[in-house]
Amino acid sequence: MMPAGVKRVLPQLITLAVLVALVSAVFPDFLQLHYSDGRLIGPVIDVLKRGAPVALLAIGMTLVVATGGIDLSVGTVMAITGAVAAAAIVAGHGLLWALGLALAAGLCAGLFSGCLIAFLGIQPIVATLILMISGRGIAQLITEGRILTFNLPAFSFLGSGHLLGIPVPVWLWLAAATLTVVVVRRTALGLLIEAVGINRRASALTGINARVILLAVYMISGLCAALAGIVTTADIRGADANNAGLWLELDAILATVIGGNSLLGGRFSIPAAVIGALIIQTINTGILLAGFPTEYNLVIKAALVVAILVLQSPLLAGDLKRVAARLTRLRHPAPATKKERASP
Amino acid sequence: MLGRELAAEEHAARRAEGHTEAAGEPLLAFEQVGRRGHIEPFDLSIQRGEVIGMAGLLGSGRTETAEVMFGIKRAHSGRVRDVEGTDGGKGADELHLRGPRDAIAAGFGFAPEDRKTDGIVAELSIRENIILALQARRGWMRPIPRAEQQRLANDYIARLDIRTSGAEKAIGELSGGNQQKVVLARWLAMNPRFLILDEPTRGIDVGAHAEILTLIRELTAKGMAVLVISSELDELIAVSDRVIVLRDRRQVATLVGEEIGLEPVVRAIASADTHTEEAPA
Amino acid sequence: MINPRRYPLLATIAIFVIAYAICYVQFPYMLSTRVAGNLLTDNAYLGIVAVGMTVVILSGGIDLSVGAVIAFSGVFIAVMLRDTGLHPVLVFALLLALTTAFGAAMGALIHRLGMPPFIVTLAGMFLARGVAYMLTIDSVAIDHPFFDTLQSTYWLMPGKGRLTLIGVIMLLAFVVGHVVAHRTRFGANVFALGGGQQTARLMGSRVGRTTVMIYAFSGLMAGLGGIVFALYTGSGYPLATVGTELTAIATVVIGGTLLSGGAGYVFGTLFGVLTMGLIQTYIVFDGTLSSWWTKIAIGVLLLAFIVLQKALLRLGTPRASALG
Repeated sequence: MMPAGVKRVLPQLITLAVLVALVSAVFPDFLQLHYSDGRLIGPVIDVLKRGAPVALLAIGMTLVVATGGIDLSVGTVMAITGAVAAAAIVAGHGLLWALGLALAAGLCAGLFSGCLIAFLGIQPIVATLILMISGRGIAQLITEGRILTFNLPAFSFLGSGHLLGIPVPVWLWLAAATLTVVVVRRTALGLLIEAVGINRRASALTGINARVILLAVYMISGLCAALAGIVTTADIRGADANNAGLWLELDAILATVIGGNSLLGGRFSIPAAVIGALIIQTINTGILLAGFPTEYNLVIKAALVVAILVLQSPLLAGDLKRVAARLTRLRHPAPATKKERASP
Repeated sequence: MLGRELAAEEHAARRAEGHTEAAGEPLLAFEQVGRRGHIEPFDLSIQRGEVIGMAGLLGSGRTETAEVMFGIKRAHSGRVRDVEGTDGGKGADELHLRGPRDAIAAGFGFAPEDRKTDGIVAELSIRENIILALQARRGWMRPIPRAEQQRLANDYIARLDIRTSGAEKAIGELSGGNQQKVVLARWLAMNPRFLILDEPTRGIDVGAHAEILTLIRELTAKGMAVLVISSELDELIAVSDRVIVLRDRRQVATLVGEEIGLEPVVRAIASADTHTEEAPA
Repeated sequence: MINPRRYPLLATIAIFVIAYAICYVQFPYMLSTRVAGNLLTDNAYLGIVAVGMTVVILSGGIDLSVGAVIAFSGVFIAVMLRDTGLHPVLVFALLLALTTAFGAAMGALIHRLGMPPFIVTLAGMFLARGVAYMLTIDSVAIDHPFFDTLQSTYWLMPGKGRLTLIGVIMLLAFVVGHVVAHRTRFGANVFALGGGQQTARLMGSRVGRTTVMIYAFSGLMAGLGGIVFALYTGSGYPLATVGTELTAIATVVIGGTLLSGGAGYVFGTLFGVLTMGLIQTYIVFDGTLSSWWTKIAIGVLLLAFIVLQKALLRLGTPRASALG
């Protein structure tokens, strides 16, 4: 099982390694780690921690994308769940209520989008656009347009605490990714999701309840967004309805695609998508550390993203093969012609 | 033509074999089942171990009938009775087919006409395609153990002579005939009571044709009822115990026993308006 | 008997008229040409990019780069007018050539690499905004006599409403978009591409050429939208119009174009834009409603409209399937 699993994420691992090498070349201390005050400190730890929201979102996004869908609402759902958690804390409810309500809000958001897609047959991009636009209004409604700050150390621990020297958000995305992989691969859920994503009609004809599968993936995505919202809110000890999770859905989709998951649906890999999230964060952090002026960030990011995607493009792979074949033919013309003559 | 020879041979074989002990017991009864704009209400009773052939021109309502029978399109009228195991049909259970899942739960199977869009899940492996219906019935919580999946896949690859380098190959890479065999294997793994095959031999090589016909005969010998829709009349005649002819979305003839032959079937398909025979009640 | 394909367009127009009537009942002043003029002026840039977006969506694609291209355009104009002696008209021409080429390049990537438009135009969005940042990170005011003349050009309508130049440009953009999408061979190809008939009606290289032209057109419209936005705000700012691409998509959908492509009307989008503008105007008029209600209202409207569209389509084609 392991070799196949490693083989699947190999392109992403190589990409990550190349990026780390690039960043290290410009900023030699990138891989430096030191231990102080009971915590590991270093740029790599920073990447792992700051990458947490997108990594969490990428888990749910991968499942959604595997069904051939897309979830534009996750950034907004982060804002809603953060606002819900903060409002619950401010109102004097404890940690458990805050967490429970935030997760429930995420589930409800997923249920809403999932129902529009599975039962009304609305295209995923439009259905989740509805929540993406109106959700930020809902989050602002909850916080009444202000930044809701709170002081609850137990909750803040989820965003800025450490466990065994590693930041808690890192543990959270690791745990969420592992749990999701175990659930989808140890049950038949993963297979059914892939079947629906590849051919919904044929899947329905074999008796797969495609609607339930669709509902499930959007609810999982909502749940992941809720976790990401909790981490972000806990980290800054406040809910900012305007900016929490803003445009992170795009990063999450990008992470999923960099993870080699086709937007058309089908075979998926959560580990590859999570590595994709780390790739994006490495780019973001690397650009900063390398000392480029901040105004260059987006251009460099765009260039790197295009380069990664072009290299992964299946059509390009076909082109390269053809070019390679032509080159070999040019280099060894005689045997090739013979073979062609020999075959009818 | 091979089909013609096959027909004669097959027919003789079937007659010689006679019927197995299970054959002839009533299984299902479709009563005045119809759907506006798709198929006029029809009656059809199905016995165990029987092959029902369905003939008709393109657009005569054959696929529509199959889709209504499998619950893909809901019937607007009539009812479906599950007659098996009840005392001569008295107190039989009525089946409510609101979707393929209901039909599958009732022991139906359906290999659709358009294999590429409705049958195979192209990027999944042969193994996964074979276990898909079985897994859907068990639910996502109870995965079929990997060893069992492999056993099933290898079993059917051998039994149906599916030509592939292995069970992990994507089904989309197989030839049409082998894809069809995988789709059949998917349903055989479910051990259905009633299997609907819409154009099972379309677009596959001649060798696989014969194999699929032989398979149908084997299945019915074990008591399964099979409805075959086919435009290849030779094959249809060869394999069927009863042939139903559709025209203009309406059942226009039923041919049984010695009546089954190329000429009567063609006459029923083509005749302008005179019904060869009324559909039986 | 009305063609069922026109139901969504008619529904859009009906919703706009009803919404305007409701507004009028509450605030009679809203029927004035002043409000109408402002509605056109305030939404001019959005309307123009929405024309390009309509064509992209009709082809079954999507263009996420337009908001960033508007921001880039504003910055480009401001910086060029500040740092060079070029005449604004020349700068505009340069800009339009640039954004058109940019769109064409995205179209080429989409076709050549078989990559989804969503991802390619997302990268385009990063790139356009990134380049805008590289030009300047501050807001740059535009100060040029000719530019000022353009800004203050308007025609007085009866009732003292002002029909500004940029409002007229938007209306012209819709006329051009309508002709391009519904009256040209290119437009027919766009519909064919969106309807999934490329194998039947479009072969090989023509798919590629059409794809390139579609995104080039969207780039052109985004550039024009950028010019109009610069005229509207009188400055260039790299952080401007963030998320405009999503608003544009929403207006296209409210305008009755199917997001799956192949069906819709350019003029429907105009009413989509006006309906959205109307909601904003209403909230401004009301004065007591918080700004977040705008977002919620747009979301609800989007939902209501899509559900309505689904229902109308189901009426048009009576087909029910139990397949999930």
